[in-house]
Amino acid sequence: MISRRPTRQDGIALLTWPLKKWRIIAAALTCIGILHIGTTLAVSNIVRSTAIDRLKTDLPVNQMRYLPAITPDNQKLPFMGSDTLYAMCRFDSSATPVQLSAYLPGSGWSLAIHAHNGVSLYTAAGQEDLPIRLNLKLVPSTTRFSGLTPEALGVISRQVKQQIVESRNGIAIIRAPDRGHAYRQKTEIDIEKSTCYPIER
Amino acid sequence: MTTLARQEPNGARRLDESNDAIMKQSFMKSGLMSLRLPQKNLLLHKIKRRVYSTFNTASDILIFVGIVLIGGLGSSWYMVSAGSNLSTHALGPWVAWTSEGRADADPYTRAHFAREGRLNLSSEIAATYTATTDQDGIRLHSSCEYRIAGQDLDANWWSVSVFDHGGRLIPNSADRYAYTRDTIALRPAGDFVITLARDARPGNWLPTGGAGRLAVVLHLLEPSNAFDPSTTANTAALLPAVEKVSCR
Repeated sequence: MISRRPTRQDGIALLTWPLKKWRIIAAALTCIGILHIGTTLAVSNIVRSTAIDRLKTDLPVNQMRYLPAITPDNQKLPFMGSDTLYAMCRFDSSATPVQLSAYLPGSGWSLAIHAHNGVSLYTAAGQEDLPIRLNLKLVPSTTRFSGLTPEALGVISRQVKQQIVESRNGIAIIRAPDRGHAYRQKTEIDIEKSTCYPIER
Repeated sequence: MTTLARQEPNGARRLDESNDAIMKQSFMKSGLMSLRLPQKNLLLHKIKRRVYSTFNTASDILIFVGIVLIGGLGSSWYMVSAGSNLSTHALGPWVAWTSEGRADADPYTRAHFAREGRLNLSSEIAATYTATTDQDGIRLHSSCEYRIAGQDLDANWWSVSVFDHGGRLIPNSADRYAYTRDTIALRPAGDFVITLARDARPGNWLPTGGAGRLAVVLHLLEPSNAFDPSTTANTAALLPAVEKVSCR
């Protein structure tokens, strides 16, 4: 082993090294940046299964399905809490629009519509002592002509609001607060008032 | 240091200390000591130099590629899994992704939730805070007992749930995994205390079993403006404190 005390020249060489090798350093930083951006953007597309993929097996298409209370044995998604009861509808509006009717009777209740990639397209929350009924028509965002809207036909509907979803498929989730065993039956009755079905042309 | 005399093609003899030292070091590094050849053989000497040069270039390229891979993938992994000030805001031990579930979410937030496979409510109407450390920044672990203490939260509805670090509910005989605004027992002053512990505790107790590392999730549905970090300076005081009581 050859060793000697570092000299002043060594220190200067160390300090001036980045100046001498600036092209390599710049190239490395550029490559790191490109790889960083590419990886970050790719993660969303290369995940083995999205949250909706994991729920697919339990959810029929265009039907509202009430899920049993979440326990460690039937927890479908990570961080899916047992504080909430869920009703879900996996919709596919590519063939025909889907009518979604959500009933939110109080605080803690919410409706969320997610696209296939998990992005939230629509959210609404229930209010204390103010039951809300939301009627939404889910139609795909497409240039294909899918018939005139009720408004275009001169039919003004105060009940049905047309919600255009960016993807042809996704999931609608009704969340209801689980207030414990004493209230569960009432909560289940309320959550089953939400529906989801294809609209026949 | 040994110095070797080398016969030059023109017959002149000179000492070449530096070249020889570099050669020696490169052989020691590359483990090619066994290839040491007679020093006076010029052809073999040239081959050695060629091999050394190629080896040096290849190692430089490998180091460059390694640094780029570690830097690029590592920084991306960190930003996607832990977030930064660009995508999250931290209040004490609580961390929330600011544009969670939103259509205009930044790429880090999109990647984070796609990778985790979560379907949380959009941050437009809800806030989801996750604590994986206590107030002192030490990781939450099931071998310790913790006290989560705070005021009744100013939101349409809220809940506190405990998971293992992978987001799985922790099995327990009490079937108790969360407390909500409806199920928690508030104290007369309107505040609450939740105890995270392996064994039963009086009051609001969330069992942690033998889960290992823990994650506590606080959901706020339609939180009041007080929780907006852009309008309120001291938002951290509104969230419950996570304090370690004892460890086994």
